[in-house]
Amino acid sequence: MIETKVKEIIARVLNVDIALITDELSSGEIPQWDSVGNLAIISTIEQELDVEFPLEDLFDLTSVQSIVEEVKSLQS
Amino acid sequence: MSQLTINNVRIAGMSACVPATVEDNRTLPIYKDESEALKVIASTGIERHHKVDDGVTASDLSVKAVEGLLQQMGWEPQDVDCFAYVCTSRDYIAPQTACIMQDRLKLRSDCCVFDLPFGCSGWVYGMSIVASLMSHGTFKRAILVAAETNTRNRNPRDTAVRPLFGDAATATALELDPELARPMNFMYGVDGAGFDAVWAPYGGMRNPVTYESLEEKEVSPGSFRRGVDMIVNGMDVFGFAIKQPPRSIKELIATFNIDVETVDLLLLHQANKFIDEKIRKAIKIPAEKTPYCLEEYGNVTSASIPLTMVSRCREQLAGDMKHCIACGFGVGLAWASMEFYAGGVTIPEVITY
Repeated sequence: MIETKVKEIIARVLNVDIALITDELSSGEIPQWDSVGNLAIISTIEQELDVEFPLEDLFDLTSVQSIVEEVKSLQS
Repeated sequence: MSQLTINNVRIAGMSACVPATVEDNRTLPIYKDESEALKVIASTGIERHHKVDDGVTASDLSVKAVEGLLQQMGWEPQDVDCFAYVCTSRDYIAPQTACIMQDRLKLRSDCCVFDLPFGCSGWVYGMSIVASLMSHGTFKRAILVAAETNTRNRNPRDTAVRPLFGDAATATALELDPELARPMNFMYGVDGAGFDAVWAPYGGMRNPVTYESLEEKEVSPGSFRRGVDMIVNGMDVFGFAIKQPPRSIKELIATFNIDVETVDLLLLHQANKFIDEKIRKAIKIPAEKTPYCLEEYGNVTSASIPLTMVSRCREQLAGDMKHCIACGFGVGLAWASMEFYAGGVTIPEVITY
Protein backbone atom coordinates (compact mmCIF):
# COMPACT_ATOMS: atom_id res chain seq x y z
CA MET A 1 0.00 0.00 0.00
CA ILE A 2 2.77 2.42 0.97
CA GLU A 3 4.61 1.43 -2.16
CA THR A 4 1.61 2.36 -4.30
CA LYS A 5 1.13 5.68 -2.54
CA VAL A 6 4.81 6.59 -2.88
CA LYS A 7 4.80 5.73 -6.58
CA GLU A 8 1.63 7.77 -7.13
CA ILE A 9 3.18 10.78 -5.44
CA ILE A 10 6.43 10.48 -7.41
CA ALA A 11 4.55 10.20 -10.71
CA ARG A 12 2.31 13.16 -9.85
CA VAL A 13 5.15 15.36 -8.62
CA LEU A 14 7.32 14.61 -11.66
CA ASN A 15 4.31 14.76 -13.98
CA VAL A 16 5.11 11.43 -15.66
CA ASP A 17 3.20 8.22 -16.34
CA ILE A 18 3.09 5.99 -13.28
CA ALA A 19 4.25 3.09 -15.45
CA LEU A 20 7.67 4.77 -15.50
CA ILE A 21 7.95 4.61 -11.73
CA THR A 22 9.51 1.20 -11.26
CA ASP A 23 11.12 -0.03 -8.03
CA GLU A 24 14.55 0.40 -9.58
CA LEU A 25 14.06 3.95 -10.85
CA SER A 26 16.35 6.52 -9.26
CA SER A 27 17.13 10.22 -9.64
CA GLY A 28 18.86 11.24 -12.84
CA GLU A 29 17.43 8.33 -14.84
CA ILE A 30 14.62 10.48 -16.18
CA PRO A 31 15.12 14.23 -16.78
CA GLN A 32 12.20 15.19 -14.53
CA TRP A 33 13.89 13.59 -11.51
CA ASP A 34 16.58 16.19 -11.00
CA SER A 35 17.59 17.82 -7.70
CA VAL A 36 14.53 20.07 -7.58
CA GLY A 37 12.36 17.08 -8.50
CA ASN A 38 13.99 15.07 -5.75
CA LEU A 39 13.26 17.75 -3.16
CA ALA A 40 9.70 18.06 -4.44
CA ILE A 41 9.23 14.30 -4.03
CA ILE A 42 10.65 14.22 -0.52
CA SER A 43 8.76 17.28 0.71
CA THR A 44 5.46 16.10 -0.81
CA ILE A 45 5.80 12.65 0.73
CA GLU A 46 6.52 14.24 4.12
CA GLN A 47 3.36 16.32 3.86
CA GLU A 48 1.01 13.71 2.42
CA LEU A 49 2.19 10.64 4.33
CA ASP A 50 2.87 12.53 7.56
CA VAL A 51 6.47 11.44 8.00
CA GLU A 52 9.62 13.41 8.78
CA PHE A 53 12.77 12.17 7.06
CA PRO A 54 15.82 12.62 9.30
CA LEU A 55 18.52 14.88 7.85
CA GLU A 56 21.11 12.11 7.89
CA ASP A 57 18.89 9.86 5.77
CA LEU A 58 18.11 12.39 3.02
CA PHE A 59 21.29 11.61 1.10
CA ASP A 60 20.13 8.06 0.46
CA LEU A 61 16.57 8.94 -0.58
CA THR A 62 17.22 9.05 -4.31
CA SER A 63 15.40 5.96 -5.59
CA VAL A 64 11.87 4.63 -5.47
CA GLN A 65 12.97 1.64 -3.44
CA SER A 66 14.94 3.64 -0.87
CA ILE A 67 12.06 6.07 -0.36
CA VAL A 68 9.52 3.27 0.05
CA GLU A 69 11.74 1.50 2.59
CA GLU A 70 12.33 4.72 4.53
CA VAL A 71 8.62 5.53 4.71
CA LYS A 72 7.84 1.98 5.87
CA SER A 73 10.52 2.23 8.52
CA LEU A 74 9.25 5.61 9.78
CA GLN A 75 5.64 4.47 9.89
CA SER A 76 6.33 1.18 11.66
CA MET B 1 40.15 21.63 12.86
CA SER B 2 40.70 25.29 11.93
CA GLN B 3 39.05 27.58 14.42
CA LEU B 4 39.44 31.24 15.24
CA THR B 5 38.38 33.62 18.00
CA ILE B 6 38.43 37.37 17.43
CA ASN B 7 38.04 39.93 20.20
CA ASN B 8 37.28 43.64 20.37
CA VAL B 9 35.39 43.98 17.07
CA ARG B 10 31.65 44.48 16.75
CA ILE B 11 29.08 44.90 14.01
CA ALA B 12 28.12 48.57 14.11
CA GLY B 13 25.87 48.77 11.06
CA MET B 14 24.45 46.84 8.13
CA SER B 15 22.65 47.70 4.90
CA ALA B 16 21.38 46.06 1.73
CA CYS B 17 20.53 47.19 -1.77
CA VAL B 18 18.47 45.17 -4.25
CA PRO B 19 17.47 45.95 -7.84
CA ALA B 20 13.92 47.22 -8.39
CA THR B 21 13.07 44.62 -11.04
CA VAL B 22 11.41 41.51 -9.63
CA GLU B 23 11.00 38.17 -11.41
CA ASP B 24 8.16 36.06 -10.04
CA ASN B 25 8.72 32.34 -10.42
CA ARG B 26 5.03 31.79 -11.18
CA THR B 27 5.31 33.69 -14.44
CA LEU B 28 8.74 32.64 -15.68
CA PRO B 29 8.66 31.74 -19.39
CA ILE B 30 10.74 28.60 -18.76
CA TYR B 31 7.73 26.73 -17.38
CA LYS B 32 4.99 25.08 -19.40
CA ASP B 33 2.38 26.12 -16.85
CA GLU B 34 2.04 27.55 -13.35
CA SER B 35 1.87 24.10 -11.74
CA GLU B 36 5.50 23.49 -12.71
CA ALA B 37 6.48 26.76 -11.08
CA LEU B 38 4.48 26.00 -7.94
CA LYS B 39 6.31 22.70 -7.60
CA VAL B 40 9.65 24.49 -7.59
CA ILE B 41 8.37 27.07 -5.12
CA ALA B 42 7.06 24.34 -2.83
CA SER B 43 10.33 22.43 -2.81
CA THR B 44 12.67 25.43 -2.46
CA GLY B 45 10.63 28.13 -0.70
CA ILE B 46 11.76 30.65 -3.34
CA GLU B 47 8.88 32.62 -4.84
CA ARG B 48 10.68 35.47 -6.58
CA HIS B 49 13.98 37.28 -6.83
CA HIS B 50 15.32 40.71 -7.72
CA LYS B 51 17.24 41.09 -10.94
CA VAL B 52 19.58 43.80 -12.20
CA ASP B 53 18.89 45.53 -15.51
CA ASP B 54 21.43 45.29 -18.32
CA GLY B 55 24.59 47.23 -17.53
CA VAL B 56 24.15 47.23 -13.75
CA THR B 57 26.87 45.44 -11.80
CA ALA B 58 27.22 44.18 -8.26
CA SER B 59 29.50 47.13 -7.55
CA ASP B 60 26.72 49.56 -8.57
CA LEU B 61 24.40 47.98 -6.01
CA SER B 62 27.25 47.99 -3.50
CA VAL B 63 27.92 51.72 -3.85
CA LYS B 64 24.27 52.39 -2.98
CA ALA B 65 24.42 49.99 -0.02
CA VAL B 66 27.62 51.51 1.37
CA GLU B 67 26.56 55.12 0.83
CA GLY B 68 23.21 54.45 2.52
CA LEU B 69 24.96 52.81 5.44
CA LEU B 70 27.58 55.52 5.91
CA GLN B 71 24.90 58.18 5.82
CA GLN B 72 22.72 56.42 8.39
CA MET B 73 25.67 55.84 10.69
CA GLY B 74 27.13 59.28 10.35
CA TRP B 75 30.46 57.86 9.18
CA GLU B 76 32.48 59.73 6.57
CA PRO B 77 34.18 57.72 3.79
CA GLN B 78 37.46 59.08 5.16
CA ASP B 79 36.78 57.25 8.44
CA VAL B 80 37.08 53.81 6.81
CA ASP B 81 40.45 52.10 7.38
CA CYS B 82 39.68 48.83 5.61
CA PHE B 83 37.31 47.89 2.77
CA ALA B 84 36.71 44.29 1.65
CA TYR B 85 34.65 43.32 -1.36
CA VAL B 86 33.24 39.77 -1.32
CA CYS B 87 32.00 39.02 -4.82
CA THR B 88 32.58 36.65 -7.71
CA SER B 89 30.78 38.75 -10.33
CA ARG B 90 33.53 41.38 -10.39
CA ASP B 91 33.51 44.35 -12.77
CA TYR B 92 36.69 43.35 -14.63
CA ILE B 93 39.15 40.47 -14.64
CA ALA B 94 41.68 43.11 -13.54
CA PRO B 95 41.91 45.22 -11.50
CA GLN B 96 40.16 43.98 -8.41
CA THR B 97 36.87 45.78 -7.89
CA ALA B 98 37.79 47.03 -4.40
CA CYS B 99 40.32 49.41 -5.97
CA ILE B 100 37.64 50.95 -8.16
CA MET B 101 35.30 51.13 -5.18
CA GLN B 102 37.91 53.14 -3.26
CA ASP B 103 37.54 55.90 -5.84
CA ARG B 104 33.76 55.63 -6.24
CA LEU B 105 33.17 55.72 -2.48
CA LYS B 106 35.85 58.39 -1.89
CA LEU B 107 37.69 56.21 0.60
CA ARG B 108 41.16 57.34 1.70
CA SER B 109 44.06 56.53 -0.57
CA ASP B 110 45.78 54.72 2.31
CA CYS B 111 42.70 52.58 2.99
CA CYS B 112 43.41 48.82 3.00
CA VAL B 113 41.21 47.43 0.20
CA PHE B 114 40.90 43.98 -1.31
CA ASP B 115 38.55 41.59 -3.10
CA LEU B 116 37.53 38.25 -1.63
CA PRO B 117 36.14 36.10 -4.46
CA PHE B 118 34.02 33.84 -2.27
CA GLY B 119 30.56 32.50 -3.00
CA CYS B 120 27.95 31.50 -0.45
CA SER B 121 30.35 31.20 2.49
CA GLY B 122 31.75 34.66 1.72
CA TRP B 123 30.12 36.81 4.38
CA VAL B 124 31.27 34.55 7.21
CA TYR B 125 34.76 34.20 5.71
CA GLY B 126 34.88 37.95 5.09
CA MET B 127 33.82 38.73 8.65
CA SER B 128 36.64 36.59 10.00
CA ILE B 129 39.26 38.14 7.70
CA VAL B 130 38.28 41.78 8.23
CA ALA B 131 37.61 41.44 11.96
CA SER B 132 40.92 39.61 12.34
CA LEU B 133 42.80 42.46 10.66
CA MET B 134 41.00 44.94 12.90
CA SER B 135 41.76 43.01 16.05
CA HIS B 136 45.43 43.98 15.65
CA GLY B 137 44.32 47.40 16.83
CA THR B 138 45.17 49.94 14.16
CA PHE B 139 42.12 49.64 11.89
CA LYS B 140 39.26 51.27 13.79
CA ARG B 141 36.51 51.12 11.17
CA ALA B 142 35.93 48.77 8.25
CA ILE B 143 33.31 48.03 5.61
CA LEU B 144 32.69 44.49 4.39
CA VAL B 145 30.64 44.26 1.20
CA ALA B 146 29.03 40.95 0.18
CA ALA B 147 27.40 41.31 -3.21
CA GLU B 148 26.49 39.25 -6.24
CA THR B 149 24.65 39.57 -9.53
CA ASN B 150 23.82 35.92 -10.01
CA THR B 151 21.37 36.60 -12.83
CA ARG B 152 24.27 37.88 -14.99
CA ASN B 153 26.46 34.78 -14.89
CA ARG B 154 23.73 32.17 -15.12
CA ASN B 155 21.80 31.41 -18.28
CA PRO B 156 18.19 32.67 -18.17
CA ARG B 157 17.18 29.57 -20.14
CA ASP B 158 18.75 27.23 -17.58
CA THR B 159 15.65 25.89 -15.84
CA ALA B 160 17.70 24.52 -12.95
CA VAL B 161 19.00 27.91 -11.82
CA ARG B 162 16.80 30.76 -13.06
CA PRO B 163 14.08 30.38 -10.39
CA LEU B 164 16.60 30.07 -7.57
CA PHE B 165 19.12 32.91 -7.79
CA GLY B 166 18.82 36.66 -7.35
CA ASP B 167 20.94 39.79 -7.12
CA ALA B 168 21.77 41.87 -4.05
CA ALA B 169 24.51 43.82 -2.33
CA THR B 170 25.07 44.20 1.39
CA ALA B 171 27.43 46.27 3.49
CA THR B 172 28.52 45.48 7.04
CA ALA B 173 30.23 48.15 9.12
CA LEU B 174 32.70 46.82 11.67
CA GLU B 175 34.14 48.85 14.51
CA LEU B 176 36.98 48.26 16.93
CA ASP B 177 35.20 48.61 20.26
CA PRO B 178 36.79 46.75 23.20
CA GLU B 179 34.03 47.95 25.54
CA LEU B 180 30.98 46.72 23.64
CA ALA B 181 32.42 43.93 21.50
CA ARG B 182 32.10 40.29 22.48
CA PRO B 183 34.18 37.46 21.01
CA MET B 184 33.42 36.18 17.53
CA ASN B 185 34.15 32.49 16.99
CA PHE B 186 34.68 30.81 13.64
CA MET B 187 35.04 27.33 12.13
CA TYR B 188 35.96 26.63 8.51
CA GLY B 189 35.61 23.83 6.00
CA VAL B 190 36.44 23.10 2.38
CA ASP B 191 36.13 20.22 -0.09
CA GLY B 192 37.95 21.25 -3.25
CA ALA B 193 37.24 17.87 -4.86
CA GLY B 194 33.68 19.15 -5.23
CA PHE B 195 34.75 22.30 -7.12
CA ASP B 196 32.62 21.37 -10.11
CA ALA B 197 29.39 21.15 -8.10
CA VAL B 198 28.96 24.89 -8.70
CA TRP B 199 31.25 26.36 -11.35
CA ALA B 200 31.70 28.21 -14.60
CA PRO B 201 33.95 26.02 -16.75
CA TYR B 202 35.00 28.69 -19.28
CA GLY B 203 36.22 32.24 -18.90
CA GLY B 204 39.19 31.71 -16.58
CA MET B 205 42.79 30.80 -17.36
CA ARG B 206 42.19 27.02 -17.31
CA ASN B 207 39.60 27.20 -20.08
CA PRO B 208 39.69 30.63 -21.73
CA VAL B 209 36.68 31.93 -23.61
CA THR B 210 36.33 30.36 -27.06
CA TYR B 211 33.74 30.78 -29.79
CA GLU B 212 32.35 27.40 -28.82
CA SER B 213 32.05 28.37 -25.15
CA LEU B 214 29.72 31.20 -26.17
CA GLU B 215 27.34 28.89 -28.03
CA GLU B 216 24.15 28.02 -26.20
CA LYS B 217 23.46 24.28 -26.02
CA GLU B 218 20.49 22.27 -24.78
CA VAL B 219 21.86 20.49 -21.71
CA SER B 220 18.61 18.77 -20.76
CA PRO B 221 15.16 18.92 -22.35
CA GLY B 222 14.15 22.58 -22.49
CA SER B 223 17.20 23.80 -20.55
CA PHE B 224 20.04 25.73 -22.18
CA ARG B 225 23.51 26.84 -21.18
CA ARG B 226 26.78 28.20 -22.57
CA GLY B 227 30.26 27.14 -21.52
CA VAL B 228 30.80 30.46 -19.78
CA ASP B 229 27.59 30.17 -17.75
CA MET B 230 27.55 29.03 -14.15
CA ILE B 231 26.60 25.37 -13.69
CA VAL B 232 24.86 24.19 -10.55
CA ASN B 233 24.92 20.40 -10.23
CA GLY B 234 21.89 20.19 -8.01
CA MET B 235 22.28 16.64 -6.71
CA ASP B 236 25.92 17.27 -5.73
CA VAL B 237 24.95 20.47 -3.97
CA PHE B 238 22.05 18.73 -2.26
CA GLY B 239 24.33 15.98 -0.95
CA PHE B 240 26.80 18.59 0.30
CA ALA B 241 24.19 20.86 1.86
CA ILE B 242 22.60 18.17 3.98
CA LYS B 243 25.97 16.93 5.22
CA GLN B 244 28.56 19.66 5.85
CA PRO B 245 26.61 22.68 7.19
CA PRO B 246 24.93 20.81 10.06
CA ARG B 247 28.22 19.10 10.87
CA SER B 248 30.00 22.47 10.86
CA ILE B 249 27.45 24.10 13.15
CA LYS B 250 27.58 21.15 15.53
CA GLU B 251 31.38 21.43 15.60
CA LEU B 252 31.09 25.16 16.32
CA ILE B 253 28.67 24.47 19.17
CA ALA B 254 30.89 21.77 20.65
CA THR B 255 34.19 23.61 20.20
CA PHE B 256 33.04 26.86 21.76
CA ASN B 257 30.70 25.29 24.34
CA ILE B 258 27.68 27.13 23.01
CA ASP B 259 24.44 26.65 24.90
CA VAL B 260 21.91 26.48 22.05
CA GLU B 261 19.17 27.53 24.48
CA THR B 262 20.77 30.98 24.58
CA VAL B 263 20.90 31.42 20.81
CA ASP B 264 18.55 34.16 19.60
CA LEU B 265 19.13 33.86 15.85
CA LEU B 266 20.23 31.03 13.56
CA LEU B 267 21.26 32.68 10.31
CA LEU B 268 21.59 30.15 7.51
CA HIS B 269 22.67 30.66 3.93
CA GLN B 270 19.42 31.08 2.03
CA ALA B 271 19.58 28.43 -0.67
CA ASN B 272 16.65 26.15 0.04
CA LYS B 273 14.11 26.38 2.83
CA PHE B 274 13.46 22.65 2.95
CA ILE B 275 17.15 21.90 3.54
CA ASP B 276 17.59 24.83 5.93
CA GLU B 277 14.65 23.60 7.98
CA LYS B 278 16.23 20.15 8.19
CA ILE B 279 19.44 21.79 9.42
CA ARG B 280 17.53 23.92 11.94
CA LYS B 281 15.78 20.87 13.38
CA ALA B 282 19.07 18.96 13.57
CA ILE B 283 20.57 21.85 15.58
CA LYS B 284 17.40 22.03 17.70
CA ILE B 285 16.77 25.75 17.24
CA PRO B 286 13.11 26.90 17.32
CA ALA B 287 11.56 28.03 14.04
CA GLU B 288 10.92 31.56 15.33
CA LYS B 289 14.67 32.03 15.81
CA THR B 290 15.48 31.14 12.22
CA PRO B 291 14.58 33.95 9.82
CA TYR B 292 14.25 33.53 6.06
CA CYS B 293 14.29 36.01 3.20
CA LEU B 294 14.73 33.56 0.33
CA GLU B 295 11.04 33.63 -0.56
CA GLU B 296 11.47 37.28 -1.57
CA TYR B 297 15.07 37.48 -2.76
CA GLY B 298 16.05 33.91 -3.75
CA ASN B 299 19.59 32.69 -3.26
CA VAL B 300 21.85 35.76 -3.33
CA THR B 301 24.97 33.72 -2.46
CA SER B 302 27.41 35.66 -0.23
CA ALA B 303 24.80 38.38 0.42
CA SER B 304 22.18 35.97 1.72
CA ILE B 305 23.04 36.02 5.45
CA PRO B 306 23.48 39.79 5.76
CA LEU B 307 20.39 40.39 3.59
CA THR B 308 18.42 38.17 5.97
CA MET B 309 19.69 40.24 8.90
CA VAL B 310 18.85 43.55 7.24
CA SER B 311 15.47 42.60 5.82
CA ARG B 312 14.17 40.35 8.59
CA CYS B 313 16.03 41.20 11.83
CA ARG B 314 16.37 44.96 11.62
CA GLU B 315 14.49 45.80 14.82
CA GLN B 316 15.89 42.85 16.77
CA LEU B 317 19.48 43.75 15.94
CA ALA B 318 18.93 47.43 16.71
CA GLY B 319 17.95 46.50 20.27
CA ASP B 320 19.72 44.52 22.99
CA MET B 321 22.63 42.21 22.25
CA LYS B 322 21.52 39.09 20.38
CA HIS B 323 23.40 35.80 20.42
CA CYS B 324 23.74 34.57 16.85
CA ILE B 325 25.01 31.59 14.90
CA ALA B 326 25.56 31.92 11.14
CA CYS B 327 26.57 29.33 8.56
CA GLY B 328 27.44 30.03 4.94
CA PHE B 329 27.95 27.14 2.53
CA GLY B 330 28.21 26.54 -1.20
CA VAL B 331 30.55 27.16 -4.12
CA GLY B 332 34.04 25.86 -3.49
CA LEU B 333 32.84 23.68 -2.02
CA ALA B 334 33.44 25.84 1.02
CA TRP B 335 31.62 26.50 4.24
CA ALA B 336 32.13 28.50 7.41
CA SER B 337 30.24 28.84 10.68
CA MET B 338 30.34 31.68 13.13
CA GLU B 339 29.14 32.56 16.62
CA PHE B 340 28.74 36.24 17.36
CA TYR B 341 26.76 38.82 19.28
CA ALA B 342 25.04 41.80 17.69
CA GLY B 343 23.08 44.62 19.26
CA GLY B 344 22.62 48.34 18.80
CA VAL B 345 23.27 47.81 15.10
CA THR B 346 22.36 50.69 12.77
CA ILE B 347 20.37 49.24 9.89
CA PRO B 348 18.56 51.33 7.27
CA GLU B 349 15.62 49.75 5.45
CA VAL B 350 16.49 47.74 2.34
CA ILE B 351 17.53 50.17 -0.39
CA THR B 352 16.19 49.78 -3.91
CA TYR B 353 18.42 50.44 -6.92
